[in-house]
Amino acid sequence: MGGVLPGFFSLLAWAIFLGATALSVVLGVIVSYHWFRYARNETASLVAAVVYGAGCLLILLMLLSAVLTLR
Amino acid sequence: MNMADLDLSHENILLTLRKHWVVFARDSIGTLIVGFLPLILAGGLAVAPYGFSSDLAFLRVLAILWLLVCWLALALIWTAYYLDIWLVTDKHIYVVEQIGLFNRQVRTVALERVQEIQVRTEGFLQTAFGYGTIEVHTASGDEESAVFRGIPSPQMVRSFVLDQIERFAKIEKENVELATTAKEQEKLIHLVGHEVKGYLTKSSAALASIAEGDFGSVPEGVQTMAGAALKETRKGVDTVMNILHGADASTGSLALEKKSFDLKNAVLSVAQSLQASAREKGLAFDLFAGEGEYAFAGDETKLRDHVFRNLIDNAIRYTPSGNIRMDLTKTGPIIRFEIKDTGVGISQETMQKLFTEGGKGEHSQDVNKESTGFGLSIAKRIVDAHGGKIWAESEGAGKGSRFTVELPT
Repeated sequence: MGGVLPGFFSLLAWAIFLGATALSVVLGVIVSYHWFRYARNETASLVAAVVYGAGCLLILLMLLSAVLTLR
Repeated sequence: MNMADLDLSHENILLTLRKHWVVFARDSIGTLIVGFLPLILAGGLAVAPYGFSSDLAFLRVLAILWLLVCWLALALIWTAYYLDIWLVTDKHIYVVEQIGLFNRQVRTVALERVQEIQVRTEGFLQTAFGYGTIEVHTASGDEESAVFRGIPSPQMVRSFVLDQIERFAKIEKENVELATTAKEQEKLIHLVGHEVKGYLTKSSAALASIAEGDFGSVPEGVQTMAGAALKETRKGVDTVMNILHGADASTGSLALEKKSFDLKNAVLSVAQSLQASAREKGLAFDLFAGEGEYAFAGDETKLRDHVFRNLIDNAIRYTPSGNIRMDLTKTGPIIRFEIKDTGVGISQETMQKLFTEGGKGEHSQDVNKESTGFGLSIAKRIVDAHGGKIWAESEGAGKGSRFTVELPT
């Protein structure tokens, strides 16, 4: 793969990783704001925020490991 | 409860509904399947014996990115599920919907405007799990119907709302009847009050004439008895006046005759007139007032007779021994009158109802049998009508009390 366009896919993968991280954080802030502001039960909002954060972290780690294998 | 954009302070929430959990489960499971599918396929291709597994690394990145996108979509599905809510109060139906990330829509339907409620259960899932759509149509043709999809047990909700509408109509009818009765009652209080006041005033004039010797000298016993009867009759007039003022204040018909006067003089005259009563009980009775004139635009008679006289008279009545200290100060545009005593004090429980109609203190009947419980309520309404504040402080029963009045000039 690296032989066709050297470094291109690797660079693109890093860009995807950084973009995905930024998107997860921004969306996380927005949805958490809504959950805490309008929710009737703060505990449920907290659990939702923790689950969302943990899920994002797990998927981003998978993405990072996939990006690191592209050399 | 934090609904942030809903003011439900004057309503009772009777029913809170959220979409059925199957709606969330259906959407989230579907999203997760769609999210994991490319990753599973990429994994499958990687172990396939076709020799191009090394070229799948970038596809794997894309598959995980897709999974992340689906995870974010799941967060939005949860947001819509969690924040879409249906509230039935004793007055309204609120349909709160989160639309996308930044739009939040609250539709309010007044119960008295509801004309028809439609319920729909469609498809296998809705029938099996007992949820559906409920549509509330109002009497106005221009108004959009309030629709809530995925509501659990829609038939039951419909019956509940219809019951509530019926109850609301009944309460509204009763409220109208109650308001009419209250008005009639108020008229009766005024009529009876004024009649009684008229008789008492005539009696007190006659008794005053006897006591003061207008009809020539009378035996000492008769004079003493006439004096005592006069005192009681005047108390009766005061009680009737208090009830009449209380009735005026409670219906908002408290009229103020505002004119400029010296507040210091008013307080001083009241204090002087009550000084004898304090001395009789052996109380130290002091008034400290700042220099100069305390010009104030307000209803002098009402402030003097129903606020200052009331507070000073109460302090004397409720202080068996010790002292009463009054301070009149002026700070910027605020005139502050403070009266502190070493009397029976006020318990926390009494403090809550002190300024309400009929809100007598726990010692009021022991100390003042004629207490109508209207005095402080009227005082508060008069002070409020002047844009001022009145409040009481006490460390508890037996620890004295402090009443403060602040009036803006």
